[in-house]
Amino acid sequence: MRDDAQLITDTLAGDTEAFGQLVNKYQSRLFNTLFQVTRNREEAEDVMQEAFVQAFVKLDSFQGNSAFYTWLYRIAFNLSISRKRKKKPQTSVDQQREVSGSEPIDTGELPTDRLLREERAAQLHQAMMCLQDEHRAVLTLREMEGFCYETIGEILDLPAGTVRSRLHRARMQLHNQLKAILHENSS
Amino acid sequence: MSHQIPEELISAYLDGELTSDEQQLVEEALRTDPQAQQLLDELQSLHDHLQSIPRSEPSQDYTQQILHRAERTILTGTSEPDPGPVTAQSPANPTVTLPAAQDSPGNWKHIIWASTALAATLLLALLLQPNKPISRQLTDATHELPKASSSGEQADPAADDDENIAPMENQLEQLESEVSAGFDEGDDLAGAGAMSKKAAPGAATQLKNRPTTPFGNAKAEGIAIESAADSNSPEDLFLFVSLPQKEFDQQTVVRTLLQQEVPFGYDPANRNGLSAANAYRFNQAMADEATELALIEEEKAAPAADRKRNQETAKDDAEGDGTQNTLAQQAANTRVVTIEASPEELEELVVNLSNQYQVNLGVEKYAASGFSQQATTRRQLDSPVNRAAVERIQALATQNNLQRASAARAPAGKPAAKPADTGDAKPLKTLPETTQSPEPSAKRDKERADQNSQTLDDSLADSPRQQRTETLRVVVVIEANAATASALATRKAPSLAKKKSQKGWELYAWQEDEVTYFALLPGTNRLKTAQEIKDLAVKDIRAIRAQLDQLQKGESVSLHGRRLNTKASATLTKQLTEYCKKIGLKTP
Repeated sequence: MRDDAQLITDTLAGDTEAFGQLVNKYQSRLFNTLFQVTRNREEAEDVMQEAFVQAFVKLDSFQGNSAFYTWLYRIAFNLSISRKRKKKPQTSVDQQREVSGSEPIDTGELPTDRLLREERAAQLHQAMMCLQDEHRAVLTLREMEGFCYETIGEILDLPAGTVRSRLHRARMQLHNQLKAILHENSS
Repeated sequence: MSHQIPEELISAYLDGELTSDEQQLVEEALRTDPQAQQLLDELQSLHDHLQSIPRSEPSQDYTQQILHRAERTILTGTSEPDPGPVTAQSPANPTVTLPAAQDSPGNWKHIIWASTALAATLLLALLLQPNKPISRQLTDATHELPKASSSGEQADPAADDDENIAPMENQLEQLESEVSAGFDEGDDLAGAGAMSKKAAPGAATQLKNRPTTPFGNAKAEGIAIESAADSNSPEDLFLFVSLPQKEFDQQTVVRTLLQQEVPFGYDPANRNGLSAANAYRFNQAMADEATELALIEEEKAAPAADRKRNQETAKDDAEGDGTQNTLAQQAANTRVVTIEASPEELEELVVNLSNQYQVNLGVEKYAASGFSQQATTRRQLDSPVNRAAVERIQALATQNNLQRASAARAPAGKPAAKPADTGDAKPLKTLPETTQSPEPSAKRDKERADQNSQTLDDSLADSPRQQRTETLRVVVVIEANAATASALATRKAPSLAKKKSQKGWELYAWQEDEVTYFALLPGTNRLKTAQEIKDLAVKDIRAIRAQLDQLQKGESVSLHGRRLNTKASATLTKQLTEYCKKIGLKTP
């Protein structure tokens, strides 16, 4: 099993299959993050693909100072921001449906519990959609990906202090919107 | 709480991102301030909720698409979105700009070529006669020419042309019988390794004189649609393109594929199969392996005293000055690309390529080539519709080969053609035979082209295009032909190639018996005769588009047709006019 550094070296030596392994390794993860940020499946898939393409093309310039996925995420977020600037925000019926989460899966729980969980998930999504893009991005990278502040800063090109404050603001905003749920849950 | 510590610290505390001083501060606050503790609990609850959001997965595995797009981006220097699945209908001839190969050599390390093991193995097999171009080997193989030479390329460029236009009809019967007989024997189905052992790759000197099992005999490489149709063996399509080294280096064929948006590069039958890079390396490795095997075999065969010398000789042959005759060199001058195209797309591709280069479309049996049947799952030529389409395209290629050769010869004032019984390489052809005059003349060539055209029309009439056709999988073997570069350069200018016409161009579109015909002729002051126009008629709009593509930008094209029976439909006329505009032609 080759590690990322080896796969990159091999790709640069002409082994495209090596890059295929990198794609295979990170596509789901990157897609999920992008989907949480954009809340648009099509957009997330487009950006994810384009990010990999650009990574392949610019692999020469990858210095190896950070992890490959950090670099990849940075490309992806830059692309996402750039696309967002070019496009007007649009909300489709599909998007609304996506906001409500994935198709229900039979987990064996009681229908009432499932409904409750889905309702909360929908509320959570809705609350996240109310966040500013930069807040949602930082929150997703921390909460979903578990990246440390430094890595988030590398990806979003921000100082760690800014990451901390944005993350706090994002949380407080969500906290205020979901106070009832959170209070009920924490008590 | 806020008067004690900033809330932000509690958030960072949750993430474990505090300095030790900050951490002490927060922990102190948590012990003494219930509000701080409550906030921490609620943030923890928020964290738990966010964690419970189900992860979303992409709708499919995008690995292959991404690699395809990445290669495409490298090749084109642009970052276009993927044209989509294989069957997607693409706009005709989008502008694609490729960086010159020498401009960015660094990028080309990414340029990779795909093939299946099937194609690579064929390549290896074909390389067994390394002194000849592959297309020549194929045709030679089917005819077992007494003068089949191993002395390299023909010096006379015209000779190739002559060979190509030399009559092939009287060879067809023989070819078919050879092929049928050969296929039945089945003694050469052992696969690539066996083939490598069986037929020495020519690296060792004495191997040249060995009575090699002629991998080049008809049973190995026979190509004939009719005979193949009678057999139960699976078969695949091979498109052989021979072009000058310079254009080979500049990826001309790939540019054409890109222009037509024909997906290429990966084995469509097996998404997890050979990657492009692997396939390319596989080609090279197979060539190397063949050389090694030859050396081993040589060692076994030669007396011990001679072994060392033989080995050195072989190495010298492989690595020394004569590298142009080595497998490696052949491999470097050959690319194999797998494409998937509808018959219509394939036709457009063949028309485009055969306007400029020697193009042969052949049908090869897997088994006869020693390929594992696992190499494909598609019996694409089982479909009579596809088979008819392939025959039609073959005829188009042949017709274009003839016309191009004719056009290249005419200004030079060279003899138009070799005698009819010249037994050298012939273009592949499987249409019903036409009678021919033994008299070699440009006129005769033209007549033959017309006959082909007529036959083509007949086959078109019989070919139910409205029937559903399937996607064809085609292995494109692209061969650089340095020796005939100059010849091909002259060939490259058929009558309509990137030409300017002082009086513009006349584009005719008309209907006869509910069939639409097109013809493109240089403008003249006089009215052309109907026969003049009909002589150059083509039936497929793609064929006329390909001709329009050959005109220099800014050329003026006027549309005619009313006086030739029924005028073409307004929709079609509009379509042609728009196409002209799209490719930069003026339509007054």
